[in-house]
Amino acid sequence: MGNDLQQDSPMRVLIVEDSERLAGLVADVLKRDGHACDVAGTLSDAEVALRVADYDAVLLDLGLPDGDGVAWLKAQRRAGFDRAVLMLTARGALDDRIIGLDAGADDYLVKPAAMDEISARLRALLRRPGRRMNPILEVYGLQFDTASRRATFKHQPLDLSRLEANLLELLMRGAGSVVLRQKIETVLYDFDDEISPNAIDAVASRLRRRLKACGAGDCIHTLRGLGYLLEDRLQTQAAQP
Amino acid sequence: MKRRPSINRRLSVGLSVSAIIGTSLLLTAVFAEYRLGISDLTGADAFRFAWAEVADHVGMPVLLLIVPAILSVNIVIQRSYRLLEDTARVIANTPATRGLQIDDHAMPVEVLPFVGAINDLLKRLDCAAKENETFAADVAHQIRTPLAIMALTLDNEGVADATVLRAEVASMSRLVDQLLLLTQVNAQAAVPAPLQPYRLNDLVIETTSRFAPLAVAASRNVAFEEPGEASGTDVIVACHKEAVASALRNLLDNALRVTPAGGTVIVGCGPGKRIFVRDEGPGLAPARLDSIITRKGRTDNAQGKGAGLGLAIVTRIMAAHGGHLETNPKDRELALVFPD
Repeated sequence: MGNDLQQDSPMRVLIVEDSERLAGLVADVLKRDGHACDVAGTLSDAEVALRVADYDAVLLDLGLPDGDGVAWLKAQRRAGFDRAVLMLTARGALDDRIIGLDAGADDYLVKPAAMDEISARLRALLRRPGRRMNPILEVYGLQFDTASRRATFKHQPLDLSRLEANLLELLMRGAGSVVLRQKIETVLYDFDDEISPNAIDAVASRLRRRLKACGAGDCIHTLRGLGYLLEDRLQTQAAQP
Repeated sequence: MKRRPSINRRLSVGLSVSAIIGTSLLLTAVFAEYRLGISDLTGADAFRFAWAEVADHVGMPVLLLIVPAILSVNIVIQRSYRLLEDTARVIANTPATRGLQIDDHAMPVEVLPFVGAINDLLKRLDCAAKENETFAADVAHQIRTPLAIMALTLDNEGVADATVLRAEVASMSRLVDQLLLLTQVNAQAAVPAPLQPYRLNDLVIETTSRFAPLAVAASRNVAFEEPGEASGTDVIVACHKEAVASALRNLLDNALRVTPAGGTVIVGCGPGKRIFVRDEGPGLAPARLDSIITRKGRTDNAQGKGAGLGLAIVTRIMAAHGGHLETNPKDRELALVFPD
């Protein structure tokens, strides 16, 4: 499903999970997507791995034989560990998500999570600003150079205005999830700019037209009242009615 | 260790204290009556005489009253509590864990409120146990269906159809998620956490935007209807945020399943403390919602698999907030209504 499409840049992921079978399955899929994976079955193994290698992201299970993942993550964060952490857990009590995020996880998934979802969330985490970042954002075929502010689709340059480029960057960083209007407003415009209610819609529809024109299809979805969503894979082009 | 209070002991102590007080009052009265002073008790003879008089006129009557009183109190109390002891023995020896009620027709009036409360509790426990049993049967049924489909698919000649298997696995995962959620909601209802104030709008936008990618992937759209000026954007509700988010998520799931491809699920707040979800399905009649919630009918037909369980969970979450789930078939709308 879409794995033959152009990939994001590969990353190195540490899977901390005590079920060997599950860890193996997750690792297989991530490897198939071109990422490098190591598996640690316990927290102490994970610590060793983190000392030896530099990981872009950690996929952390909570119930491990030698301790609680939440407490461990808290300790790691205090010690200055700043990589993306996706918590994957069988627990899922109502407040666990908040507890996990408070402990320093960047995202939280409850088992059984679909593989597609795990890898999508990992990709999304690595696109977030503030982490060790590739200056070039990639979302399945779309590329955006955050330094030169230039965008391409399948190596074909896109001609974007400043606002359109800013919007595209914002949507690409949040690809696969909804980017709220409020956030777009604060990023695109200065505090005292006079913003007409339709200003953002106008920018979005211009951007959408440009993407369509170069064959990227209709990948920006408008969610009325909420914001915009850039699909993180362009496979749905075929599914358009 | 502190000694447990005992009615018997307390009464005996009480009676003894009143005997002592009574004796001293009587003594005072006698001394006053006969104008006796300390000096009259100084001689050995006078002393003996005075004490003999006091023992005759004060000591004897008091003893005669108090000793039988203490004895009879003991007997009465033991008698009244023997009934309770007997009942306790009956309860301990009953093998049944359900349907047990304490027989109170011979119980003294004083313990009736307590026995009544216990009987009430037993009834509630019975109800809960029965509900759980029906529920377990319901769940077993709902798990059996996808299992049967998967088994059949795998048994088919040739290669198993992965899409069928995937769909059934997804439906089972959903069911398991909901079961988990339900146990959490029940646990929370048993020991309610204090509610925190949240802005309804923010809660809805956050939950809906987390849900939207799923809808988009299923080629449906989601829209948030901004509240009009009249209802205001600052409606604040005291709630358990994650629980309400789960309830809303369930409604969104439900709406997504009944909305045809290309359709839009509309979410919004208002009027007042209310969250609504409108879909493009056939609408849900109030009677149907009732039967789904009480799980009287089969839950896996018209509304799609597992809808009943989801809506039952939503109802419980809302009940824990003092609110309710409301259906409005004309607008094809389900709403979470919070109390004012």
